[in-house]
Formats: sequence, C-alpha cells, structure tokens
Amino acid sequence: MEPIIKLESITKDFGRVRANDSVDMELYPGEVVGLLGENGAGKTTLMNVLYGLVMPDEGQIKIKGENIDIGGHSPADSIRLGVSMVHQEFMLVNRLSVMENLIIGEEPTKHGLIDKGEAEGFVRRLSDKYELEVDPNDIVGDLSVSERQRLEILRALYHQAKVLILDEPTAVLAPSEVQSLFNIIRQLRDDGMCIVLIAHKLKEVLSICHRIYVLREGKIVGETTADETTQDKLAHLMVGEDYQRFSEEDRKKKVIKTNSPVLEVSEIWVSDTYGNWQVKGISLDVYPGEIVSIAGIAGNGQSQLEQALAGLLPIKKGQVFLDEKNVTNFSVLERKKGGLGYIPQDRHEYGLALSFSVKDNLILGRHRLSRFNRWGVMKYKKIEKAVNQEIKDFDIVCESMSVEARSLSGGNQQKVVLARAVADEPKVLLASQIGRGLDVSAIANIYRYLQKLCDEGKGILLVSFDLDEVFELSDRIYIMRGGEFVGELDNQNATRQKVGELMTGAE
Amino acid sequence: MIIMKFNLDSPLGKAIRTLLLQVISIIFGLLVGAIAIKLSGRSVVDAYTALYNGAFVGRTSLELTILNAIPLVFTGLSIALGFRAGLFNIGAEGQLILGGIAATWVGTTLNVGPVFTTALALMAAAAAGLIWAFPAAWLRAKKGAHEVITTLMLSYIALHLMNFVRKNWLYDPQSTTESSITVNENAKLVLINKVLPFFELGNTRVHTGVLIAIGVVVVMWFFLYKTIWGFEVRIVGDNTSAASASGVSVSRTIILSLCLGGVLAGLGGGVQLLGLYHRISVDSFVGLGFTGFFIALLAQNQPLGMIPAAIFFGALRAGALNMQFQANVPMSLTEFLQGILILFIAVPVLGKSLKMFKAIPDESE
Repeated sequence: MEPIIKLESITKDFGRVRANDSVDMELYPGEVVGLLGENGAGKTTLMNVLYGLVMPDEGQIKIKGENIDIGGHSPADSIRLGVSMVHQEFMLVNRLSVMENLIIGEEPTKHGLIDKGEAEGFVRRLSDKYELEVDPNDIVGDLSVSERQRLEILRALYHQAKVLILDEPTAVLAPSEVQSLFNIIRQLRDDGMCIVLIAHKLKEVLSICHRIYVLREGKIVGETTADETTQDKLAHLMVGEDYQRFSEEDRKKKVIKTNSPVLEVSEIWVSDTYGNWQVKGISLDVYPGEIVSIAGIAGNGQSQLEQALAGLLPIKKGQVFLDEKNVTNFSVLERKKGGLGYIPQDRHEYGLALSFSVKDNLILGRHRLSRFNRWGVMKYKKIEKAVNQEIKDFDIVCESMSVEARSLSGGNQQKVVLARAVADEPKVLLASQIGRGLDVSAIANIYRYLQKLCDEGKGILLVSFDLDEVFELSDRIYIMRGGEFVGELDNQNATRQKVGELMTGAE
Repeated sequence: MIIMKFNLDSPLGKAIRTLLLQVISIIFGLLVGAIAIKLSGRSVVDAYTALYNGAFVGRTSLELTILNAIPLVFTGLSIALGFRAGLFNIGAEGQLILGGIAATWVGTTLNVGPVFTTALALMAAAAAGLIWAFPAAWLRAKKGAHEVITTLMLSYIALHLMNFVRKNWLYDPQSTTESSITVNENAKLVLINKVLPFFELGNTRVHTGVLIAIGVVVVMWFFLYKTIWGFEVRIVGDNTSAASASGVSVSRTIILSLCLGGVLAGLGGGVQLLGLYHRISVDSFVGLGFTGFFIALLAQNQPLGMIPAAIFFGALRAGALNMQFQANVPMSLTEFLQGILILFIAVPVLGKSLKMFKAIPDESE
C-alpha cells in the first residue's frame, strides 16, 4: 500500500538544540500510530513540521505522494491536503458556538450568507455517527474539556481530514472519557483515517496503537508494533538503559497511625470568586507517614480545596489544624512557617517564575527567612550555598544556578518546586498534580522522593486527576465529586473500578 | 573569531545584545528621519550635524543635554519600578508636579540655612509624590481599580493644582508670565562647580541634582537586585500566581512599588524645581513624566540603563532645538524625528529581524 504521508530525513534545530535529527516516517491509511517519547524528545516538533507550523531545516514531506515545498508549507495547505492536528492547547474561540467554531475558515454559504442549516446538519450527522455528543448551538466556553476536544476532532472531520494528529489527547481526560475517545479513534480508523497519537503514557499507547515510533533526543530509536513490544521495552527505548520503574516494591505501605493526625480538616466550605460553593463541608485527616490522595475528575472543587488548604483562598466555614494548631485564617507564609510544604497544581503558573534563575526560584518564598536576609538585604553567599546543596541533593540537572528556570526540563522544574517545598522540614506536604506532564523517569524519581519523605514520618496529601498516580502512591484515597467527598477507601479495598464509579457517579 | 566564541546567552552577552539592539533601532529611526528631511527639501547632513552639535558639541550643548536628562532619570526609574511589578504607572507626571509644588512651597516659606533648606524641600517633594501615588496604589491593591485610570486622573488633577498654586497661593504679583514666587537662595540646589571645585568646571548651570540622580539610580539598583522587597517586586511582575502561591503578599508589593515610584517622581520634581526652574511657570514639568515611559522602555527597566537612556533623550531634545536654529528644520519635523525614534525603540521589529537578535526560540515541545 502507498503511504499517505512520507517524511524523509526531517531535521530541525532550535538554537543549539536539535529537536529533530533526520527523522524518517511513513503513515498509512486506516492505522493508529503512536508517537512516543519523553518531553523534549521532539514529538510535537515533528508533527508541527508535518502540519506546517514549524519549518524544518532539512528534509522532505510527501503527502499522498506529492512533494510539499517545505519553505512555503502552512497549516492551511495541510488542512487542504487532509492533514489536521489537535493541539494540547485547543484552538477554539470560546465566545462562539460549536457550529461557528466548526466552520471558521471554510464557511458554507448560500446567497452570500452563512448557511447555518448545512453546518448544523453536519454536526448532527457526525455526532450521531461517532457518538460525539456535541450540540451545535452550545457556546464553546461552556463546554467541558473533553467536549472541546471532540469539537476539535469534529472540525478535522469537517475539513475532511485523512490524517488526524492528536497531541497528548488523554492528558486532560478522566478514565471513562479516555475510553470514549479511544472508541471514536477506532471508528475513524475503521473508516480509513490515519490517526497519529502523540503520547507518553505507555499503557494507553499499547491499548490503542497499531504501530509505534519511539523518539529520543530528536531521533527515531525504535519502530515497533503493539503486539511485539511491552511497557518495559518501550520505557527503555524512551529513556535509555538506566531507567528504573517505580514499582509496588518501592512503595512500602507502612502506616504509622499515631494518635493525632498531622493535618486535620473539619467541615470546610470554600467558594470561588463568583461566590459559588466549590468545596462543601469537606473533612479529612492525614497522619504522619502516610500518603493520602484526593482523586476525582478535574473541576470538582479539587483546585479550590487545594488553594484553600494552601492559604490562597479564604475558608468561609470550618477549620484546619496543622500539627494540632488552628491555621484556618493563616496566610500562605504563616502556614509555611507552621509546617506546610506546598507544591501547586501547575508548576508553570503557580510554581515557578520561569524567566527567573534556578537560584531565585529555589529561594522564592524562603527569602524572608532570617537566615537568608539581614534587614531586608539578601545574603547571597548563604543563599548560593543552600541552593548549591539543594541542586546536589535533588539532582536538579541545570547548567548552573543562574540559568532561567524555563530552560530546565519539566522533571527538573518540578524538582525545583519540590526542593523548595520540603527545604524547611515541613510536617505536611500538600502536592497537586505532581506528576503531570513529566517523563516516566522523572515521575519515578519524584515518587521515590515522596516515599522517602513518607518514611521520615511526614504526612503527604496528594491531589491528583491521574488514577495511575493515585494507585501507585496512596495509602488512603478520598474520592471527590461535586465539591464533596463521596468515598474514602484504603489501599486494601480500593479498586480502579470502584474509584472510577465513585468519581463519575455511575452506580 | 573572538566574536564566534562569545557566549550570546550569558548575562553579559544578553546585556550587550540589548544595548546593540537599541543602538540599531536608533539608527533605523535616524534613517527614516533622514528620508523625511530629504523629502522636505533640506540637507540631511546639515540637519544631523546640527542635531549632533546641539547635543554634544560645546559646553552649552553638553550642559543642556545633561540638564534635560536629570528629571528623566527620576521619572524613568519611577515608571520602570511599576513595570517591574507588572504595573502601568502613568502617574509619574502628576507625582513629579506634586513634588515640584511641595518643593516650591518649602523653598519659598522656609529658610533654615543652606543645605538644610534644600534637604527639607526635597524631602517634602518626595513625600508629596508618595501622597499622590498612594490612593492609586491602595485602590489597585485592595479594590482592583486599574492604575492606568487612577494615576492618569491624578495627573490631570496635579496639573490643574499646579496652575492654581501658580496663579493664587504662591502667586508672584511682579511676574509678567504668571509664574509663582521664586524659592530662596538657600533652597536652590547648589551648582556642581561649587561641590566639585577640583575639577575646575568654571561657570555652569548644571546643579547637584545630577549627583542625586546618579545616587538614586544606584540605590534603586541595590533595591531591586539585593533586597527582599526588590526581589518580591520582580517576582510579582513576572508571575503573580507563583508569587502569591509561595507566600509573597501581592497587594503589599503593588503598594510598595507604586508608592516608591511616587517618591522617585516626587523627588525628581523637587530636584527639577530647586535645580533649574526655581519657580513654577506656565510650562513647568510638562511631559517629563510621560517621557519617563520612553526612558524606561529604552533602559529595559534596568536602573543602570536609566542614565544612558536619559542622556540620549536629553541630547535628542537639545539637538532638536539646535536643528531648528542652525539647519532651519521646522519644529514639526524635529518632533516627527523624535516620534520616529521613539517608535523604533518601542517596536524594535527591524533590529530584531537581524539574526543575532532573534529571540531564543521556544522549547521544542
């Protein structure tokens, strides 16, 4: 069979970084191809090259046997030739309706006016066929993440895509939503479409993809089929030989239940900025030496709960005790001094000042401690000594402490946030989405470190949308839905199915 | 070969690239200005020679450049401090005027001997700037009122207040130009040849405000890069969410940066009045605050960059004046030239299109 897409020795440099190094790739109709690799391996760049968003330095692109002029290649050409891409950041206009978003750029007209009937009919037809469940008249801003994703896929179908590239589509979805996305992908495949899935979750790739390419440092290091390979084999291809998985054995489940919890939350209520209750009377406790998770689908009040516990949102009712001290009305800084370490949900938005140095980021929030300043003047010698030690202790890979935090890999950025959070011996660590967007090896490192903290007798409260993470780490799991806890399970009697049902409310 | 080995991404490399980028933007601006001068039928060489002569050649020119630059250092710093915290402090103009009014008031009513009178008048100026900045700062931090609106309104009030003071409260009945009364001799800033006699500067109009300006630049550099408060200002300006998540009080930092900006602008007004004007007249202070924006822009909000940036603008002003006299270039054309230069500096598109200034690209993923 003729490949629908053929990439030949694609090379792309960003400054001194070679993002793609003479990559060859062939895509055929009617297959799902996994493009696997760690963050920074060059997956997205490669697909952006194909889509026409990034101009390669060298190489050739053939679509349906036709040579593409790489100098003048643009997304508009790609769409015309049947190649569509759904990015991680959706390219939608939130204030317009589903139907309006769909037809942007290719509006069906009748007598010079937009033919809404035609577009609406299209949405309904495809919605039925692929069980996409989107209403053409909904405003995009009101849609959930998974609905927006479906709209993006629908848009590709509207442009009669033959090749659909999905960039990490499952990162934002709940487990049940992942399954329905995969069902849609299978149907599209059966209809003869070629789907490229950029991913780094091995389990998912193995469950849906037929062929798999593995990229490392810009090069293709393996091409295999799902039948021939295993998770461990893929992981080794992705990260090289020195990778060690974080396994059940690493997670020693030894819980020291002392008499008093190190964090106790009783009946707290938190509202968002519009005054709607997002956390409705939640109580929880964390004992020293245990890892407690809050599982749930994104948007069920977890981030408000997290921010309220960190001191960023006011607690309207109820109380929080940190090491038996009432900290309900404490500021972020006072809580930190009281023994709370905090790793916020989004390291780019809440964790780091990206254009500041590693040094500045490691000291941020601790700069007011008396050992780091005298009368307001920073003691840079002391700071640099501490920072050097932390870079060593946490194995943060960076050229020097003066480079911008932006230049670090995701895993190393997270280590910076982690190092800062635990630097002052907290009693409780509150960590949200700690593994999100990280490589398998970086995740294993972070998990091992959490285990170490746990062994030292610290209490850890995790907020996570990722069930794998929850199951790998937790001693106890709270399940959150609609601003309330709908269940509490310990690791002995928690199953994925049970947690999944509680999360979605399906009985 | 040396250039090949030079690391463009090191801090020094970045500073040099920034500087070069500004220089290239200025050159582009001058080129476009040259076309305009040519089109108007005048000699480009004559015009630019006059510009250069008026700014740098001869004692009077140099002095004028420096005198023009002094207040701009203060307003540039004031605005840059706001920018550093992510705020648009349009109010430097008003805060500067209030500083000027306070300095006039103290300088005309108080006389406690040399140096002391000046010091008190300058303190009053700084305090007045602070008072004028505080309402906007407080409203921004606590109520979320946008600082552009509040500081702009306060600037208009300040302008009219100055006119009121000039025509009523500190009115000089002998003045034919509706100016205020003049501050007493002890309040005036000492001329620089008096404090630096060993340089044998001879007669000069340059006052010790130039030393104050340099001192303030150094203090602000120290504040921003060496103190915890400066650190917080910079962090809040870069990522407010990360700052508050790590325990920095954002509202306190906003108040601090706007109020300190007020102090700087107020002090600048005091220096300008006690050093140069000595009284408030019709066109006192006009535009000094707003020009501060371009100084901050040109200096990339770096305290140490304020001095060359202010000198550049001071020179441009002085040179433009000479261009009118010597090369017969009409005022409108010199203003056009200034505008073009500002535009090229504000939007360094052309300079950036050169390869070495290309921003380091986003991460590959």
